[in-house]
Amino acid sequence: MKTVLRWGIVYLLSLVGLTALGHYNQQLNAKLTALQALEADLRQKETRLLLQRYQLTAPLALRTWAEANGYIPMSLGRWIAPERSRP
Amino acid sequence: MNRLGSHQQATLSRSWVVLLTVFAFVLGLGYGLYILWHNAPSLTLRPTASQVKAPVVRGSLEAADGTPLALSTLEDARLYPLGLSASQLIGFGERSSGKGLSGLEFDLEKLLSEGQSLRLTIDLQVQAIAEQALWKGLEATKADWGSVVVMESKTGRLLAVANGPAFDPIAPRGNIQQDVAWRNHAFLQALEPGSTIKALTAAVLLEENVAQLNTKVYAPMSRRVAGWMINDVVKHPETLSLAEVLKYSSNVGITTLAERLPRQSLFDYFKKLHFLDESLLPPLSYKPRIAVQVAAPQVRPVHRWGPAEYANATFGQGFLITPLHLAAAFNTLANDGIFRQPILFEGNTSKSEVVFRPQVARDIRKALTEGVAENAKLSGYVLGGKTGTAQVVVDGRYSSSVYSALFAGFIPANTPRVTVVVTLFHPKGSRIHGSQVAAPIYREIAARLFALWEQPPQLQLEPSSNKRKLVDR
Repeated sequence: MKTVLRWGIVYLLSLVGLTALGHYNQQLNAKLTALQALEADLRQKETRLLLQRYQLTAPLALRTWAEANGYIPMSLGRWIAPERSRP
Repeated sequence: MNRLGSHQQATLSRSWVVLLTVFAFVLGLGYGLYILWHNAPSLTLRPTASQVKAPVVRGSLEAADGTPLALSTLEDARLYPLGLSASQLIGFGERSSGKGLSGLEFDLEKLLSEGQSLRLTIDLQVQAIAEQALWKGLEATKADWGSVVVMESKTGRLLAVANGPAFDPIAPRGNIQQDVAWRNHAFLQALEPGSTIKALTAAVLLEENVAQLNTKVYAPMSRRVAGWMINDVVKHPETLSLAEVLKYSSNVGITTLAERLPRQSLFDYFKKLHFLDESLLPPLSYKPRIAVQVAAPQVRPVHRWGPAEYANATFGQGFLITPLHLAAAFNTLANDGIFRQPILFEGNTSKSEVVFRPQVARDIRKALTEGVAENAKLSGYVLGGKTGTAQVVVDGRYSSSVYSALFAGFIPANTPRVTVVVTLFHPKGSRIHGSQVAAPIYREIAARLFALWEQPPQLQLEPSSNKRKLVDR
């Protein structure tokens, strides 16, 4: 009877261990799923930001902005000495 | 004996029970561990990436500096980070799968769908300069469409392939038959190049030693060839030198001088300049053949050239080539007489072939610089090129209202870095000539390219005037 009890305790302890391990496993799985969702979300955010960056800094966008703000290319602009006042 | 025997029997049966329990326990434990192994939370316990087949992400198209022009992610079928820029060249695909429907997306479908990325020779700064100038020009002239090709003279690399009106690859698409903004006209639209060809005809005359730039020719404002009337548009003296024939763009002058050449000779030069070449750009793969689509030129075979057809050909009428063909041919003059095959992808090799003597190319460039249209001049810089205004065939006849206006030139004209071809189809209003509508676009591009190259104006080339402040010419 004692032997049966001993083995029963071993069995129960193992069962508790296995349950704990299973629970831990489930926790990790849930965490991993959450992280993967976050990763996908961040990746989408990164893509959006990348697109925004290219749209804002594309040569065409910069040139349009420069023109709208009155900048002219060096080849067209001329610095001329100021007119002297007559004596 | 009996008692002893029953005791032994009881021990034996208990051992069996214990053994069976241990076996069942080990089995259960093993099964539990097995399940744990297969549902392991840690990534290292899962099958490795090589065991799981990752989905193939469509290859990207990049500009020369590595900026993505079209890219795909796991979540998005296709993205075009630069929006309107180079959109007609890149093309577009199905919204759900990204499968190419036009442009490079369509031509290179096989490579892109296998995940292969490609880097183009397109310089985004030059592309933006060309697009900005072209779109502004299209708005002013109300032309149906237009294109600009910028080709690096020494290497044949295409730095810009701009088309207009602007096309947004992610906007809702209309009727693609009516709205042609999505088309890469520079590669896909063959048209008559008009008077721009006179510069090449003049080069052939010089190369064959049948004329010099100062050779005089009697050139009234019109002449009859095989029953067809050939007219000049710009008023000029009755006698012109070859250089003046280019300056006044005299159809009469060039056709008269070209009669000194056998027809076969001009046709052979057309061949050398790849005017009959259906596959102008080098293919990316030979088996299976993968290449960027370029519209086939339409040039009559030489045995079908009568006197009128020959005369027409000398000033760019009666045959069709794409703006890309024209740019490559004109680049021969920029590259001191050596034809360079245009290339669109980094890593491609551009074949070269001697067509004219270097001195011939330089002489023609000089004539084109001295006789350049007023609208193509830029103070402080040397610019040169040839205008062209070609009648367009509508319903089998040359239309009296539909023209294409062209300008083919070099930047700068004395030591060219790039060759530029501007094409406008069907400009409307009172200003429809190449010198009026295409030349200003060329000048605009030149002004911005000089600024990009940090090339200041040469003061000795400036006309003296009363300058008082920072001026914008």
